Amino acid sequence: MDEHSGPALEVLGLGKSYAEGRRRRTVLRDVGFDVAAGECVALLGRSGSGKSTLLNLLAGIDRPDTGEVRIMGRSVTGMGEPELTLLRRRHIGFIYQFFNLIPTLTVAENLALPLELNRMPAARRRERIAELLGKVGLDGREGAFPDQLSGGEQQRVAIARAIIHEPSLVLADEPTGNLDAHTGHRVLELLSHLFRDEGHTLILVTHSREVSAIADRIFAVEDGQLTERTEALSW
Amino acid sequence: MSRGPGTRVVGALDAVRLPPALLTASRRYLTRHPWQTWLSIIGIALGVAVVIAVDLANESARRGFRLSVEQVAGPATHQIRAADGRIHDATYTRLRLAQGLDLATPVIEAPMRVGERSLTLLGLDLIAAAPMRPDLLAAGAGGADARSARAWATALIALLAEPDTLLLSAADAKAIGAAPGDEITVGIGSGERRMRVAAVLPDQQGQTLGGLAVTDIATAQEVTGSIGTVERIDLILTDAQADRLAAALPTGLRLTTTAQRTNALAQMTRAFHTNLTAMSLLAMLVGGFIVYNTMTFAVLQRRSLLGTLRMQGVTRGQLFALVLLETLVLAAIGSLLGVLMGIAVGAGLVQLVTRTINDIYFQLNVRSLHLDWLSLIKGVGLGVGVTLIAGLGPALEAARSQPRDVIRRTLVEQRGQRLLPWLALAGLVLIGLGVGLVPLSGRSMTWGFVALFLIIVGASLGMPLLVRVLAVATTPLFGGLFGSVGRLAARGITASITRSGLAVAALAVAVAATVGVGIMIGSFRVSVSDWLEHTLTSDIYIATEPGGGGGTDTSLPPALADELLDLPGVAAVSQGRRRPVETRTGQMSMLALTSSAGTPRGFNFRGETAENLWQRWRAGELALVSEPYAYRQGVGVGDRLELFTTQGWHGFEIGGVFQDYGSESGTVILSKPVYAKLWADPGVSSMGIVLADGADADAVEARVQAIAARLTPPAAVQTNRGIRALSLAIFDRTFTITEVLRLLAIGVAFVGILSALMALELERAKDYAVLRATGMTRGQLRLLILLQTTLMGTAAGLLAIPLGLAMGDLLIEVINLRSFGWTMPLRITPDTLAAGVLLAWVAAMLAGAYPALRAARAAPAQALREE
Repeated sequence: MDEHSGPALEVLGLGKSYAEGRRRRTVLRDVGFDVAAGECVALLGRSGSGKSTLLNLLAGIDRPDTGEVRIMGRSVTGMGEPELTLLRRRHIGFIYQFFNLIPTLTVAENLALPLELNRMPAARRRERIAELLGKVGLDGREGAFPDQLSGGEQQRVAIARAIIHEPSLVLADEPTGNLDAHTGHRVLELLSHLFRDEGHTLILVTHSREVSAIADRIFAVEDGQLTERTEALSW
Repeated sequence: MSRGPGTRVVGALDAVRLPPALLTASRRYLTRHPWQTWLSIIGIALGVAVVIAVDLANESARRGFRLSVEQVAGPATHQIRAADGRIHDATYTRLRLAQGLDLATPVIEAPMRVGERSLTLLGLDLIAAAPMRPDLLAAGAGGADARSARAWATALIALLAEPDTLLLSAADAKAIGAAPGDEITVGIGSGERRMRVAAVLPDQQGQTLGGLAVTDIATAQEVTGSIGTVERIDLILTDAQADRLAAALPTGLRLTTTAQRTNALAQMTRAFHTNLTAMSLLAMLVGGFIVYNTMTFAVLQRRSLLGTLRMQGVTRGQLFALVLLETLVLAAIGSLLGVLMGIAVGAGLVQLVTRTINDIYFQLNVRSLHLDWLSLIKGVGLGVGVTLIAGLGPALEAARSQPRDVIRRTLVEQRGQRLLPWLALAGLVLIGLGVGLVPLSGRSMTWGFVALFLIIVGASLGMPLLVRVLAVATTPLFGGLFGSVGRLAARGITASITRSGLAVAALAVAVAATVGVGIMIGSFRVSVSDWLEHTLTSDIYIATEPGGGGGTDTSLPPALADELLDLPGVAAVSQGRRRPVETRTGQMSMLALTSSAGTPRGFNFRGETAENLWQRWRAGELALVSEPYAYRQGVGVGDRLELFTTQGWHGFEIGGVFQDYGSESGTVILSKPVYAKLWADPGVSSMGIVLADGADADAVEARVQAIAARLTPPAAVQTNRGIRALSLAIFDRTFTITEVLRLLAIGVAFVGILSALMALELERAKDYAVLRATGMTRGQLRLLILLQTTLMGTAAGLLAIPLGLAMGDLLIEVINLRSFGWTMPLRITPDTLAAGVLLAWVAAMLAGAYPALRAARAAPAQALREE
């Protein structure tokens, strides 16, 4: 998979609907797009537009009714649970709106977990953690627990955790949604610089135009369909 | 290239390998929730402690029994016993000479008291027994110097030559405060006499001879009033010698192996031990509920966290292993604590167990707690095993975590709610299996307990659904009474039914056990009281020793009956002889009766009796047997019973089966003249005096007391009321241990509900903070939590009643019957049921008090900040 030279992510004719009583509500309809390696793409949409469903399908944590998702050329759609687990462990990083750090682990231990799961030797682990902490501006906070950090700091740890194992694809769900405007802006700047520096592929799900502004391309999710936008959006 | 099996194994191992950070997170979770963790540990510890304590007490009692038997029997392989319990000295001498019995000694064994200390008097032919019992008779000769050897020889000579001399163990001598040469007062039967301590037996290689008072056979004959006869002959024989001897024995004597006799005695207490074990397993079951509750909560609380871990690539196997490892840590700590607590509790229980055995079975000379490693290992194994089984469900639940659970937090509760009807259905199936197993399991006590446990587990599975129904049904009532606080309280239970339902189930099972056991004991006690009322037809009893005789072979003077009948106010005098008797299937108790009033009274027959019962009974055709004997042997009216008499085996037809709670091993009633003829024993061990109408009971008693005091040895006089009071006191003492175990089970359940409530309170901290932020006062919050615990406690109490009634019924109809052969009607007293509900309610209220205070004290801002 690592030798793949095509797009980092390929989405082909994706469709998803949910049962609502006796009826089915279509959330996504024939969605398709590619994301090149190192590219940053924003999925922009209102609440309930289907953008989170799309993110879940991309991560393989939900199954599409139709269509296919390929990460680094491999179809996620047909993968079994163990393969999906390995895929997430090695090739995907996540950034959540509510950070989802492990409260009983320190900053350094939170960052160590993905590396330990990938069996990185301890010495290299320490180096990588120190490097990332430096990049996200949290030098000296490695011993702090999440509840000792501010929201912005927690999200910076979450960003570092998402990329520490150098995944092929990073998925971010409203990464500034739980932060005030100032802190959100700073986190966004960090996200932008870090991803450009490290050359990761990033899919951002957001309802914020400011957030989507850091993306190379923006797709609007409206009524279950995806359209690439170049002009400013109306909301 | 296909992967080989080796690769698959490595892959599988990798899937459950736990990274250090995951282990750290787990460890910190446990230490950051100390209440949850420690309550869970205490729950396990209490469960393990009860199991270990009961097992240690049982094992100690069994060991005590074995040592007591070994002490008395020594290395003897065989015993010769007579049908009438007496072997004449001449018979012994003749047998010894004619059969060349070199290793044989006559024996007299009798219970004896020195102050409050119970001992066993063991009379031996010191010369004949010397090569057989070096443990006793050469014990003091092993001293380092010749002087001590000489002193020991002098003591033995004194024992042989001087009357009223005895040997005591060092431990007993110390406890009594007696030294060699001291005189002590000993009680044998109803009499007392002064005896001199000839020497003290030193303890040998850790083997104590405690509980024995050794005398020469002549002294034993004198002090037990059996001059010229001995109780048995102990022998060491080869198989060939035994065969020859058995063939040569005169009629009325029987040769048995010591092992046969020991096994028969051991069998008697089997049911008693099994019942105690079952009670302890119940406590462990309740402990299992606690663990399940705690671990389920621990998983549910970390639902989002587990989803996050799955998103990072943690496998299902790793999460399963993680939760199971946490469970194992709790199990290990809890079990270790349980071992320590179990040893402490066991030391107390062993006294209760041995006292019960002494009261109703036989005298145990060894009563100390014996630390049996197997008991400890079994207890720890059971604790860890039950805990792991309890943790299996939560571990599987953790393994089922989906990455999407990061987003959908209420999924698990919803899934749990959907599962409730299925759990209830599974519960119904288990109850059905349990009920079906009762008639199918014949007379097996073990299967009886399996049926009981299936019903308990089945009922507990259905309880969460019933709790939800109850909570939904009472929501309008609570709303009407307490407004929105009341509605919130009731709805809070339904919203977290997967945990609140379990907590209620754990408490309900423990309370049901107390209700069930309470009903059983209550029914038993009333039945025993009724039986005593019915059986004790005389007003005053005079006997060779308290309880009616049988232990020693003394007899009341034959002329006493007429003397008593001549007393003013006496209407009738009945005479009885109680002694053990051999049947083809073992020993049972025999009572031979005759009454000056004609037909004996006081029999409550179960079912039909033979025609012309009393006429044929007096003629010696019929025997009456007690219910436990009939149940155990599967015999009834019309069947044959063979008894070993001085004239050999003699057959009787069973004429009736009577209610009897006096002897678990069974009692046979014969006509006294028939007994006297077949056993060549005209003796009488007790007499019952029936007063005439209007007689002055106190005056008659005083006269009887005066007559009894004149007798040698003096006889014991007891009134009907006195015997009943004493019998019920022994009954209550017998069930003390059951009460203790009930309390321990309640203790475990209390920890369970406290743990569940603490967990719920932690989980709802944010909800409570929101309520406080929207204007709810601390008092209202306290009220809300207390209303919830009240509802949970009441639900547990109400659900415990039907289960308790079913348990009580099963204990009476199945367990008691199969254990002891006793039947009795189920008697439900409203007090027992009300006490059950009250107990559940109080336990829940007490358990809810701290969480209520804690929640009300919490600062809302902090709880709201914590996501």
